[in-house]
Amino acid sequence: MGACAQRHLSWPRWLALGVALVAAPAARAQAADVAYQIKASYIYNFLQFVHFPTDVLQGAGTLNVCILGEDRFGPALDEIDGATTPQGQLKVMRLGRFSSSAALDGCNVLYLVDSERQGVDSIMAKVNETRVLTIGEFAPFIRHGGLIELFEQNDMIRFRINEELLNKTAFKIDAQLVQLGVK
Amino acid sequence: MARLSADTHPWWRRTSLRLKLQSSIVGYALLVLLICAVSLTWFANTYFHQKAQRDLQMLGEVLADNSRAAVTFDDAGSAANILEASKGNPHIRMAMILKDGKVFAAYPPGITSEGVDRLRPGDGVWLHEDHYYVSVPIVVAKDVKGRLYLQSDLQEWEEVKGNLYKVFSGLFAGLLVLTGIVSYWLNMHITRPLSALSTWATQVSRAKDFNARAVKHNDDEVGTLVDSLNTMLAELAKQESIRSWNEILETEIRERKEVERDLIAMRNRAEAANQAKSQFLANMSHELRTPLNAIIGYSEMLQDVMTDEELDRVELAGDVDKIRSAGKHLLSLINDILDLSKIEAGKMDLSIEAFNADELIQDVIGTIAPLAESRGNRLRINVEGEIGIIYSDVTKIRQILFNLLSNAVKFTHQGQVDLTCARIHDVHGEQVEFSVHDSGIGISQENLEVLFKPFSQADASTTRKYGGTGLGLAISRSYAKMLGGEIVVASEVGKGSTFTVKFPVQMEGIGELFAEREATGHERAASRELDEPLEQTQLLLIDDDEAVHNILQYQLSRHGYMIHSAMSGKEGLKKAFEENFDVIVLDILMPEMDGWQVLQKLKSEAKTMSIPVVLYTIVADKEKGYALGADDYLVKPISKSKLLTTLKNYRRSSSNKILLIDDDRHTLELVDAYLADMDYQLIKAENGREGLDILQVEQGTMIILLDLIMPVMNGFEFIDEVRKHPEFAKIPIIVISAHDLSNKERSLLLQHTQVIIKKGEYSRQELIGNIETILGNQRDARKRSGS
Ligand SMILES: Nc1ncnc2c1ncn2[C@@H]1O[C@H](COP(=O)(O)OP(=O)(O)OP(=O)(O)O)[C@@H](O)[C@H]1O
Ligand SMILES: [Mg+2]
Repeated sequence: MGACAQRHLSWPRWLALGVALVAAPAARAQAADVAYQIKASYIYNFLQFVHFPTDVLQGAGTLNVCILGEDRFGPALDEIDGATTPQGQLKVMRLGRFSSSAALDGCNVLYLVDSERQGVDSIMAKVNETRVLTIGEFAPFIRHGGLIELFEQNDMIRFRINEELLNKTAFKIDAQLVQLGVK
Repeated sequence: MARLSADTHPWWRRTSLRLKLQSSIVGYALLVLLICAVSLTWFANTYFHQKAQRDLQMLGEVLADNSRAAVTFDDAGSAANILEASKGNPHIRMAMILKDGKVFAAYPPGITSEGVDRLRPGDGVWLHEDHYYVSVPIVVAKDVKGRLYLQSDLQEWEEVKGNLYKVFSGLFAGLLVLTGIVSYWLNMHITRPLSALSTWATQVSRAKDFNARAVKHNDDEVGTLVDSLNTMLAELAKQESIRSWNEILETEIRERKEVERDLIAMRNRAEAANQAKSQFLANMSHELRTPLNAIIGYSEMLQDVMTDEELDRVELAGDVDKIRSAGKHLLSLINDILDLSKIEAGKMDLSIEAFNADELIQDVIGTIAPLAESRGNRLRINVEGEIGIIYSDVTKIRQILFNLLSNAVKFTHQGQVDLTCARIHDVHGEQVEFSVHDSGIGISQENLEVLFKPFSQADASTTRKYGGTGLGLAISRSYAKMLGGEIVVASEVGKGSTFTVKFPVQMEGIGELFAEREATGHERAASRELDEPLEQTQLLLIDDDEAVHNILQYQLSRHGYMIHSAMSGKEGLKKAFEENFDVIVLDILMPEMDGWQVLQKLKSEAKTMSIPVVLYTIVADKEKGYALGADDYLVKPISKSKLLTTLKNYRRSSSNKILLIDDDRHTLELVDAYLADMDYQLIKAENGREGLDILQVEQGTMIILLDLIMPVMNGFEFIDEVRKHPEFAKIPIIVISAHDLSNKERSLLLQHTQVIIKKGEYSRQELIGNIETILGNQRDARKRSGS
């Protein structure tokens, strides 16, 4: 088990902490942190319900998670970096803000932070959405061709899934997840 | 006993077959049903519970799996939607997802089931208060995100149970109906026939009607039972009929025994009566014979006197002969009746002795020849081969032959009567057969059947025409049977009859006994003769016929004659010159030299001139014989007694004292008359005592003539007394009696006396012959001892 087990054991502690943060009345900053912590866990959780075919994953046993935009996650991403999923080990790559020279090729998962709302079309143009799982934390990400769109509702973070894209992706999205995201 | 054992039988042995069958069928069906019900219920129960658990588990797992995303992404609404899916199953009472110890989602919505997780920690299905619970972890990426709980009631099982109950009660009802039908069927086809059979059998056994038969309806085991019962009954009926036969037989036997007892009583009475009759007859025989004896004796004497040529009273001779023959007839009648009554009383004894058949034949022929002649019948005797000596009762055989011959002569007129005699050998051994054939009137078929019955004559006219009593054949047949033989008859009316009598040469069994006794008697007599020195009368017989030699040898040698045989005249003359003879018996008809020549020669020679010559021939020429110097003339055939009487005149004898003991005055006088012209001195006594006294006084008594039945001292007592005196013991005794002797008496007398003569059945010649023989012997003996 080794390191993997290590990470695994640490996960519930983290989650418990995260939940405690969500539940407790806290400062705004803290609240922002909590929201990204949840979003980080969402990324991880999505990957529990998504199956990549082996040809999509270049590096065997590694899932490259690319974060594009301002770094609002902070240490929350560290928690999921290196964590294992049925697909392989997560590798978080913080790409910072988008530039035309940005190398998006190696990404399996592309997370667009709210800061990239303006240049979404140009980003999406550079990305093959059928091969890369795209997550955006702003609306209307789906309309721009993204797959999963995160939004807030009743102080809860929710998500939607682009129905049109569902059957086109090279990877498979669990029906449960689709159900949660499609209502 | 049977009742008791029936009571002691256990109840199940006593219950009826029907009840047993029914209860066993019901019981069996119930048992099967129960087993089915229990096992089915058990299986159903187990199956249901397992299935319920499995289903619950599965449902829980599915729900848990489905709600993974909802739980992961904290979407309680979605989770509730998922849980709602369980409403399709009406038995799911509750579904709930707990997350972090709190109800995350629940169905039906809004229920709070706090502490469900505490019912049982961990995973799995458990039963609690009639509900199944299942707890399934919701695992995402190996992390337990929450727990799903399901609660299911057992309503379904209750339903199944209810259904089972319904089915089983239905089955039970059906079973009862089916059992009813089956037992009805069984009742119809097994129980009812059986009980009917048993009722029937009980009736049969009660009524003892073994001829009843059960009716067979089926060809099954009951049918077989019916068959075997019927067979058994048939057997019983047979037994029963045997038993009833036995009973009938028993009653018959009982009746018969009663009849038998009556018969025995009757027989005893009859025997007593018969005894009285026999006694009466025995007395009568004596009483009747004694005077008859006198009548016959005197008439014979008268006849002799009449025929004496010197007295010229021949014309009266015929009348006297009538008296004599009437007396003889009366005597024979009396004898017949007495014989018959003796035979009937079973008191006729046999007296077996050895005798010569030829002698017997001659004897009988001698008696019957005059009768045959008087009826103009020719009499022929045909002896086939050598008959020889016979051991039997000569008196009885003589009587049989006489009866047969006299019948033949009587019922034949101017005809032929043949007597054939032969010794034969058949299945019964050595036999003598006498056959009397006549050419007379014959006998009709129906008369043949009654012929041998006493007092039976062919028809009533027979008596008138031929006389007789019808006793002859009855007696003859009885005698023949007593001698171990039989008489058969063959006859044709108008043609003639043949009577054949056959009997063993030697009487067997008692016969031998008698023969032995007789033989010893004879031996004694013979030895006495030998003991006493005697000189025999030397007799020369000149005859060419060998048979004559044999007969004379046999007839005379016992009476003190020594027979010298000459088979021709020449030989006779030669012997006569060479030896001394007391008498010469000469035949006339001989080849070469006939009797006349021989006689002349004898009378012409000095040596032989004085020897008396008796001519013995069939040529009836007395005158010539006497003229040539013959002393006597006898015509063949001749009876032994006649021969002896004739010859005694030429014996070497002298007069002597004779003691006559008889209580009957007529007899005394008759014997006196018989012996009057003889050279005897007759002394008379009227009873044994008197006789003994005379013996004491009169010395030199040579012979005693003794009657048996006398007053004071009878003949038997007299003999006893005489034997006690040695000086008289050797005096010869001639018994002359009318008494019928029993075998015992006869054998006793034969030991101590010389001759037994029956009153009325002897002639003068016979008596004199006997006396002469004895006296001759004595004289000879004395002569010899004297010289
Ligand atoms: N040879 C015979 N021929 C014809 N009839 C005979 C002859 N012998 C016997 N019978 C018949 O049988 C009958 C019986 O014979 P049996 O000798 O018993 O009596 P019987 O001669 O009449 O009298 P007896 O007692 O005097 O002999 C005779 O009466 C006669 O009718
Ligand atoms: Mg007769």
